[in-house]
Amino acid sequence: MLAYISRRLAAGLVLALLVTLITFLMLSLSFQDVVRTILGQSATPESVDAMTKQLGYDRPVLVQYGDWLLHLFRGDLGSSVYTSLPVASSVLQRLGVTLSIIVPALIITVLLSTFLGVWAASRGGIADRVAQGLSLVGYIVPGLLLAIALVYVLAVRAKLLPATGYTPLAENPGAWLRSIAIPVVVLVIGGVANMAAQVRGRMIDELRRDYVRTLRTRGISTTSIVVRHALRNAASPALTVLSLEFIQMFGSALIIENVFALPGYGSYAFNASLQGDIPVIMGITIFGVLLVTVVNLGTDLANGWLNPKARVH
Amino acid sequence: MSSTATRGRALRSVAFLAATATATALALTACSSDAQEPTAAAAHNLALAVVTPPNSLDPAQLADGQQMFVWGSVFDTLLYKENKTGELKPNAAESWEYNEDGTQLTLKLRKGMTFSNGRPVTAKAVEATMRRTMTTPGVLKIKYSAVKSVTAVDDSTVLVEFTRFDPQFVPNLTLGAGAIGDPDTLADKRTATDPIGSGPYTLDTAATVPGSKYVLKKRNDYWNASAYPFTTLTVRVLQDPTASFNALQAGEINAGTVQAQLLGRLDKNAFSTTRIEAQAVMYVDILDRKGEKWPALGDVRVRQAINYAIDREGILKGLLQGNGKVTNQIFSPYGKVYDASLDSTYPHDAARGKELVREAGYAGTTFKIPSTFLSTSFEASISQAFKDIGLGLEWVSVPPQQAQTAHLSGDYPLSFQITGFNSDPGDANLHFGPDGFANPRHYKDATTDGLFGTINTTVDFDKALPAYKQLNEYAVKQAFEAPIVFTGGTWATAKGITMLDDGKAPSTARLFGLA
Repeated sequence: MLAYISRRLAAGLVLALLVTLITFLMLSLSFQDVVRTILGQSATPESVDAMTKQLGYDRPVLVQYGDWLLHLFRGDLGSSVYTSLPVASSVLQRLGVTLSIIVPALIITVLLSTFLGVWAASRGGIADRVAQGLSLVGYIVPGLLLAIALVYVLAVRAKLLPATGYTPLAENPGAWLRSIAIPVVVLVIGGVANMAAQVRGRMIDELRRDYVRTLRTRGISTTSIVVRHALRNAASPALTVLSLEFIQMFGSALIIENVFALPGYGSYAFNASLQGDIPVIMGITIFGVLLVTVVNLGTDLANGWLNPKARVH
Repeated sequence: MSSTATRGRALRSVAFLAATATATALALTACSSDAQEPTAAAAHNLALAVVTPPNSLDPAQLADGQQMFVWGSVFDTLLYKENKTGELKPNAAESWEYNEDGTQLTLKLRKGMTFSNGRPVTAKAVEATMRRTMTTPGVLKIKYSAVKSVTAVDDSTVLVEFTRFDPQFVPNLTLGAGAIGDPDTLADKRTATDPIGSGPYTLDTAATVPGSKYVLKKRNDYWNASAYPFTTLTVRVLQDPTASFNALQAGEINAGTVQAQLLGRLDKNAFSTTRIEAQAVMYVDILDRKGEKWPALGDVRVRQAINYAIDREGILKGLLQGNGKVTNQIFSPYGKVYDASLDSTYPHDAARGKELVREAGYAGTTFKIPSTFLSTSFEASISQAFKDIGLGLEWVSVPPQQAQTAHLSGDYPLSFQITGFNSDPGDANLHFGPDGFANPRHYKDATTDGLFGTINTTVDFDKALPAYKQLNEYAVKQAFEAPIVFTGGTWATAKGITMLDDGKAPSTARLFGLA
């Protein structure tokens, strides 16, 4: 198992190197543009040259990439060319904000989706129609519209929750809970719409299998069949959906962060891309690749735990 | 079955408990919320929203515009522009005086000023800051391009010597070029993120989240404390207009700009509004004014035709919800060069434009123009205008970070721009100076040469004013650009806060006062 994890992590590192190299090569095409953007409208050819030299963009691209890698291995991702703020701590800070929304949203999504999916599949009839209806509504209602409506009702009118901003958990747990409440609800509704349907489908398949019929004839209770046997078998593909959901929520986070003015990873990445802040884009890229690698690895390990056939030795 | 029912009941109980706990926690925390009512002025707190966070707080890298709300609170500038008049006034420098030919500027500093670390603000500090800005690659270095030397003559006198008179230099001292940093910490790494200045506020780094929220605490020992009534200034970065509007209505900020389409939803009893008629000028820049690469644009009739073609009123009402003012010129309506009579030079008259293009023999000519994040909303209207006079436009998509390169590349004959105002001398140079940003092919002719000759050698602005006005009139008649509108905005302030300016002063906390 350890060898497997090591191999997967090593593969993740190789992937990270390749992705960052490609990103850097693509960014290298716009070094001069970035310098001009930093200097603004009063940029002169002389000032562009001076700043290009100061930032080291006049060196060969591969030398610059090698330099970035060396610093990376020392834990130094450089500083933003606009704000001079260190990239590593900025990315971690922003990632913390985004994860503090996504993780609770994901946990609630899993619980609700499992409940709805199992309920719909095991009860059928009205329960199934209600669950499918809820999923459909979650699909149809755009997250952005929902976010705006919830802000209007809960923050602007009722003043129960903040309309914008983020309070760190360590600073004030109550205020943190309030600041993430609406963003989490929005993410959960979208997530449940997707995942509950997957769980329901898998559960229906499992409940039709021969082993379920056999268990029933042996007098095993429905709850035991559903929870201990069918759900466990259905959980494996649901986990894969969950990992995709996690990555998708990172994408959705950009919109959510914008609407709620949260200083998260998505808005940080978006602004850095708009400005062409090369050290920040590189930092975001490496963190993003590593995050996806770890999530995928975690999913595979969990799958192996749930399904012995999927175990890698 | 009974087991299932029991489990179901248990699940429902857990769900109910969880829901109750969450609701209780939310309700309790709501009660202990730090959200302020719109009447936050009672606590002397000003919380305002901006779209752009400050880049760097290094005195050599300070950008103007909304970024000034933060750095303008930490640093004193040598001069400032008065609210509602835009007149240059003493600030850290209590006087300034040029010699006869404008090659020496003597600045007399106010006495008794201190940096936030307690050290005195002296002429040596100004000298050190200016010398560093002159030699540091960055946004401000160019503003010192005519400066030969900076010398602290005594504790409160600074002598700036120039290679030539620079009419933009003194107005620039109200902005980043006039900021004073603490010479002992200028070289420190912290300067870019947590600098020492002599301004009315200090940055509360513990409460600040860079790029999102800046919290500034008032200095009670500031020399001009009465001009800043707010004990805490919070600058929130809210890039989404709806988020900003929601924050305003929810009482999380007490000052912010509101989009025209949202104004109707603002509670008139809780907020007052101030309309800023002109914040920037939107225009189609004619880059090849001599027609070197695109001969059609060297013909004044084609340039005038473009000006006739644009339906300025339509763009203002249809796309900007009336937020602004149509214009045929680029000089700020708040400045002295602006001439209202010029705004009737090019009424919307597509037939006249078409006739001019036909006369010039360029009907059917198509131009490429960069499509940027600024232009997307206006492209259809501008393309239609060109079509109406027998010309064509091809918008070429350009990523945001390449917008400036595209403008300067020489690959495009035209460019769509929205440019903020600086000062009359600054705007004259930017749009029509041979090295101005809006004139990347360095166009000049005998008339512009002569007028800039006067402008750049006349130290007294009022005496140079006729030359500025002639330049404005000449540029409009020659149609070097196709100005469309002055874009405006509306500030909303909560009860207890008042807006003291109407768009003439830079973006600092001084724009706001207690009602």
